[in-house]
Amino acid sequence: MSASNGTKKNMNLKLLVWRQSGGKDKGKMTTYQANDISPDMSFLEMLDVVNENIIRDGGEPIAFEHDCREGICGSCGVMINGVAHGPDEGTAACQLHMRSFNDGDEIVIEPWRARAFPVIRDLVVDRSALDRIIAAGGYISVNTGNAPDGNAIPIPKEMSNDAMDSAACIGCGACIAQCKNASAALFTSAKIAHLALLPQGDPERGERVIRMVAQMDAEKFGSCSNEGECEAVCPKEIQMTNISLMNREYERAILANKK
Amino acid sequence: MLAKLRFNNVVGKKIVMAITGLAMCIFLVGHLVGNLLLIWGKDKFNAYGSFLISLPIVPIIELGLLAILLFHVWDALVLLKGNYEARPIPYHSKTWGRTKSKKSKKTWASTFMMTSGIIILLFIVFHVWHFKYHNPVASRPVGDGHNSSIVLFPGQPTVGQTTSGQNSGKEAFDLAQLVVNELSNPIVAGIYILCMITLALHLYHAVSSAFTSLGANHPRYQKGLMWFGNIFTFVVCGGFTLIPLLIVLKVVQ
Ligand code: HEM
Ligand code: FES
Repeated sequence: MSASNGTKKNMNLKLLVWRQSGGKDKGKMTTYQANDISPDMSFLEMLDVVNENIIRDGGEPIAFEHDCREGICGSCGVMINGVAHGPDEGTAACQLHMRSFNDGDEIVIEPWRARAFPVIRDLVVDRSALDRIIAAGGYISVNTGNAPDGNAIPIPKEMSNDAMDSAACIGCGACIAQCKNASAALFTSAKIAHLALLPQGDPERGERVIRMVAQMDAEKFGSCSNEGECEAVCPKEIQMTNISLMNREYERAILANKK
Repeated sequence: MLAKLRFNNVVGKKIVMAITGLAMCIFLVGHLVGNLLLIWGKDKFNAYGSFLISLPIVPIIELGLLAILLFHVWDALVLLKGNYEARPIPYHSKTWGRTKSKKSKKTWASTFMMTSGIIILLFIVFHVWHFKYHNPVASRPVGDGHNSSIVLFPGQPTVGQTTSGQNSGKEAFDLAQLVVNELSNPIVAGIYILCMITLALHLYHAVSSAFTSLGANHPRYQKGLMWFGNIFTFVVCGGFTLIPLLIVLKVVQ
């Protein structure tokens, strides 16, 4: 990967980027040259440099989404050489560094592709389908008021570990982008798991999984083939066994369904 | 009650696929044990065959298996259609996430589940026609199976002989001989062996996948389930492969 002695020289790269001016536009792959790129730049900084040049030449910069640039917000996310978030394990595109590439490389950059993720512009897709899945049940109902005592509800350590691991999902959509079926199983299951595992989420467990699965279905995501490609590209390393937990929750809910 | 069970979405359909798939896996174990009797002895195999036919429940089980298979295939096709529609615009270039992390379980087997499934489906149709309905493709008929004590081919008296039941209306059929005759042909044996390799590809992904779909997977069990799937696949498909292999190699005659 990185040149350990830190002497890797600046590089020249060829980019093949998806350009699409809007939802109606058909879009096409366009070639750009990215010259004199420092290996210490992040992937998004490299795109910034390319955009500076495009602007200087009077063109429209490449639109891409980003916010925190430290791998915690889930805004960024593009297919880099056919893999969601690029080649580094457990890394969001903003945390990917150019030292993972070599001088003269050609880099293909595409937006997430799914029917539920229509392209807004260039590399930016509309991920509100994920918000609607959350809105369908990814919450707990509590009365507002004073903050409850942090230790009022005892939670076994293993449970809280598992719940926190699932809660690490930043909703970037890489799992869906990588899945051959464009299935949202990993995302939805992580959101179900982190609530179902905790006592606060327990009362609404059954309804939650039924509603969220129904919404996932309604958004026309595909089905899970249990390949685990999602887990491989997840910047937060959410485990595929969450999906099994979702299936288990679903079975429990439909068997106990009294309505 | 059943109307309240919601199997009509992507999660529910995979649960149905897993239940039906595992049910077929259980059938395969029974079928394998019965078939291996052929290696032990042709009379043992025929005795087992006529015992099975004498059971009144067998037609019901057969219909049940047919229904299970149809549910499995139907859900596979419906899900495939949904998956296809879930990504109308393909990627310009796409590689396996497995190139990035070994955590992915994607294999050629998991990629071609539908292909292997359809080959298995065609094989099942052929296999039932071939041996359940006694349609030899590479050798001469072994009697007609019904009411026949006539030796059709006097040149080969043992071949046409039926073995029991004078007035039963149905003669016990020398199925073992038919199987041996047919699988002695290298092409027929080759077809059976290739189909068993295809089944192995299907099950290599399917067995552990089914447990995940059923909700039985957990970080603690993951490795164990993968192993179970691999061993099951190896034993079952290896066992089935043994039969045409030993016959075509003339170990079983
Ligand atoms: C002896 C016959 C068969 C057995 C034992 C079998 C077994 C299984 C099992 C256990 C699964 C895993 C289910 C899951 O992941 O939840 C599976 C998946 C699958 N089966 Fe079969 N199957 C058989 C025949 C077929 C046939 C005839 C077809 C197709 C026409 C088929 C198509 C599929 C597909 C496409 C999947 C993957 C579904 C997915 O990953 O989304 N199978 N099979
Ligand atoms: S920009 Fe926030 S995760 Fe990449």
